[in-house]
Amino acid sequence: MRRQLALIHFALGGLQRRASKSVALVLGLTLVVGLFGSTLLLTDALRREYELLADRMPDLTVQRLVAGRPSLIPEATALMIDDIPTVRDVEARVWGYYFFTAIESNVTILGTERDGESLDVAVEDGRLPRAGNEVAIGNGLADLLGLRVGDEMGIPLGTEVVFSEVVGVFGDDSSIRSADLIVARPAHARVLLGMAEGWATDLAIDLTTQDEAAVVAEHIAERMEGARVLDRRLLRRTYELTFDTRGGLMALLLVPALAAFLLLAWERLSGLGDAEQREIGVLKAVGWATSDVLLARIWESVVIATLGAVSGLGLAYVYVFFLGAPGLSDALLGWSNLRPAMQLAPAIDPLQAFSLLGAVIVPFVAVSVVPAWRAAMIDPDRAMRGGR
Amino acid sequence: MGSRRLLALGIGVVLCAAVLTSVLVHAAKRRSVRAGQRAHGALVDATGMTDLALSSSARWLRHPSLSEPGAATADLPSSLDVDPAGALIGPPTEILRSGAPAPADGVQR
Amino acid sequence: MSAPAIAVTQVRKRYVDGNRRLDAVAEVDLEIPEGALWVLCGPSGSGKTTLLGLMGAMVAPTSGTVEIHGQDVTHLRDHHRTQVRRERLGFVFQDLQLISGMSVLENVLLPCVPSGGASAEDAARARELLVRFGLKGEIEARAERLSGGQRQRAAIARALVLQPKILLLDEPTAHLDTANALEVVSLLFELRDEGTTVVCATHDPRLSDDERVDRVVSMCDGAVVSDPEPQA
Repeated sequence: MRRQLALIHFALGGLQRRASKSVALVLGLTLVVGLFGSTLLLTDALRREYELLADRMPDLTVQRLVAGRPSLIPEATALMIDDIPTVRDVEARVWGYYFFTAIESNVTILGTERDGESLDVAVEDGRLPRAGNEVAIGNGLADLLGLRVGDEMGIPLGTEVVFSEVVGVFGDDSSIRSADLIVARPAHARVLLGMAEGWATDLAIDLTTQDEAAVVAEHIAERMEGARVLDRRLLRRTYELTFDTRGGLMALLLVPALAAFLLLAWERLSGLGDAEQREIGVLKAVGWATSDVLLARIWESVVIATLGAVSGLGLAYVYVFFLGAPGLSDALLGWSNLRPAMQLAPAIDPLQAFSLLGAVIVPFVAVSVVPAWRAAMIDPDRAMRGGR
Repeated sequence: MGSRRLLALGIGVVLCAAVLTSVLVHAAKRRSVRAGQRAHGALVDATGMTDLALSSSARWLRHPSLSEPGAATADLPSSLDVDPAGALIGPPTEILRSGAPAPADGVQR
Repeated sequence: MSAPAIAVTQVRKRYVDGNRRLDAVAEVDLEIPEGALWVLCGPSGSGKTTLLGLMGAMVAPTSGTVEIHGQDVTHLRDHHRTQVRRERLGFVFQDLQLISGMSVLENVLLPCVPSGGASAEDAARARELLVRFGLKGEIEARAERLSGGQRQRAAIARALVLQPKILLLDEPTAHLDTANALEVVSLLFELRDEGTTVVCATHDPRLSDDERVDRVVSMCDGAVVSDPEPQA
């Protein structure tokens, strides 16, 4: 222990003597870890947010394919499926996209019959629609159009304008899901979507037990023409793909930065100047063992790596969860005008934090060990003469 | 002289620990705040839709779990919501295959 | 009779460069008794520095044996050789080799670090040595601020901090003016008189021609050419 402390003390002196190089390495590492860490933190937080409620997806979703692409499904199909064993509930869902010219963005229009005071908590201002042309809208949309509870929203449909009464505005809380939503009763949603009575977008099916999903899917395929049955486990994988792909793309873009940094680090660590080589020769000649020299250099790297990694992580955290990751979220999430308020809950836990730190510190120290070992193995006589 | 360096090291260690602890504590706090927000759950209960409004202007990204299961890696020409992500790695075939009619022997693989 | 401080037998150091073979030291036999001050002299390239390195267990010989206080150190592993260097020897180099950026005291205490840092006694001894060698005012100064003569003395102090029985010096008076050189020389004799075995490699006649030297070994092209009996 005393020996380690003495070596650390010497290592700190070494860092001090090579101050500019040490600072450069720490800053570089902070930047690289900050970049990678931001991507990781953001995608993990999004993934977690999705996971929290993913269980409430319907067990099966049924779409009707026409010409290989999803088309509308007759509501009556629900009756065909209702009596399959283990099917607990079938709901014909009405939802779709609408391109809002005024804001140059797509919005999601959703029809639902579910209501009740307990659900009104979903809305920050007002309540959910209960009848007629009432709608609840996301606050992203409300802000862009300047709408508040009690206002009327006009949506151009062909040559006409359809008016809806705004009875509720979703808050920042739920904005990650509601920013671009227009929620209405099914009848009014159909009007807004241009969907005729008796049709639905898809069917949401709840089963008594998920294990029967494959069997039920077969039954449905038999009874319904052009049915595409999506198991919810499959849909979750699609979701993961989305995050992994995007996150992976970002990471891929950052790889050159990481490579450049590692190269730089290697070059600085292994291109021991005359001074450093002589220093090692001196140490060996005054009675330092190779392991002592090596340990001192390893401690130097540990200090640099730890400082860089921890500040990188802190930087990334502040950037994502205090500043909302400007720039990165654009790259990761795309170019929508209706951006949800990024009030994400971080997914990072102690295990993850230490894994991230370990993933940075260990390779960095390892990269520095090789040149240090080569230098420490040097014949002290040769080292003293400057390696000549 | 000697103790000054070790003092600096000690301060460094404390600072690092402080940063780490702050991050983890803040994260946990935010998670518990999030857990207390009932708006999310109520919204999902009311609408039955769980997807995040990540990028409305890319339709498949608005409801990736519903629109096109393979769309996460789709690259359709003239598509409004192009995300050229399928170039290097294709999606797992089970996703592309999903919902396809069962083969003749009636076994869904 | 007690074992000699250093005994080299048929020791050779050969460097191979492609097809050329160069014997920096060729079959040298020497026995240096305890408490003596010997000088290895010769022109540049005569092999005296390499021989010093062999004696100091810094360089492993190509053939032959090296014994320090009767212990054969020829084939020791790096770890054990280092131990021997630390416990028995003090080495002062040709290029002084103080680490810049560190204070003189820190430099002198360098040998103590691997064993857990300098103890209070080590520190006290280091200060004593520095005072004795006329560096009282430079104890906390940065090494690069010292003059050539001061650095030389600081290097000697470092070599002595762990109280070795043997002191090896490579060109101790190089780059020193006469006054400083004589100071260093008399210091070496003081140490010899206190019982330390001192071996110097030098081509400086101010040292090799000094009457107090116990033996002068002349070298040329790696071999001993003249090794007169000690002057009475």
